[in-house]
Amino acid sequence: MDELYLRLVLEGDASRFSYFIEKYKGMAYSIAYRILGRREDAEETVQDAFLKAFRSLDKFRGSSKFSTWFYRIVVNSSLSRVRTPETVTESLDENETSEFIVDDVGSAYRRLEAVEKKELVDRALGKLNVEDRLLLTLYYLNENSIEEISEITGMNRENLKMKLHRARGRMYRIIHAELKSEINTVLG
Amino acid sequence: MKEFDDELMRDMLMRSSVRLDNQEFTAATMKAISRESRRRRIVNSFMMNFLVFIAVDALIWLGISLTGSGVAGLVDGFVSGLNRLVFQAGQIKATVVGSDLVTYVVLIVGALAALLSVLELRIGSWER
Repeated sequence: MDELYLRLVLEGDASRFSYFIEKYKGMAYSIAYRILGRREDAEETVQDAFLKAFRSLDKFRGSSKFSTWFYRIVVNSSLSRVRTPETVTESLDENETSEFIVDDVGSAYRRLEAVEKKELVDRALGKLNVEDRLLLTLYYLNENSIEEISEITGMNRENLKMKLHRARGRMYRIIHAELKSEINTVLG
Repeated sequence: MKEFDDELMRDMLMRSSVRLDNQEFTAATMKAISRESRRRRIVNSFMMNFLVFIAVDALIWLGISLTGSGVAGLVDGFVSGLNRLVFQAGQIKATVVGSDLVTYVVLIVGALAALLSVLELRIGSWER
């Protein structure tokens, strides 16, 4: 379907571009929001990205999916908009987790209420660095393959797998620390 | 290194996903796209017309030089150039809604081209 609308837009019917906006705005917004952290900035960036995509639509060769090509524009636009240097993920030594009283983080997380889960994950994602948030969003939320993420971010596959593995580890440790902190608060 | 399994990670990311609440987003973006599309059409149209105008003008001058047709050829050249400008202005009028910097630039260049055509005619008569 993308190819059909692409052809129509390239033939001069600009109104058909709304198909791409409707289809990709949600995910594009999620990606931009994960990088920028502010709703207004994410919205403006996605709008700019659509405009950039429209301007360079004739350069899209179709060697990859339109979504991959477009998300790459979104990622680049978002990264160029990040004003301040990214916050460094708080120091979390891998051995630190062994001291925690929460012995099964996954089970502890599953026992939480839906609202608590969302708050916990939001806090954890907020503590991750931009790159980790982006990779986790592309891989788990958008369900892009490693090859697609490699095209979107420009990272090579092996490097990407390693970064994804580390991001998952950091997420685990942050959630672990958050749960520990909550339990300590409850226990006084 | 300890980490969550894929299923749990997906659950976490889904829970914290954000939604684009702005109902006007598509309309606002399409407005910007339409403006861009119109700007591109104007530039393309102007470039095409301007090139044709220059080409026609050059051909007529070449014709005058080769055949020595004098004032009659010169007047033909001017009328032909003027026709191109009128055609160009008509197209701009048809494609532009409201004021646009490109429109002004196009019209100024068009006016300069017309002035040059008149000057060409004057010089032609002085030479004669």
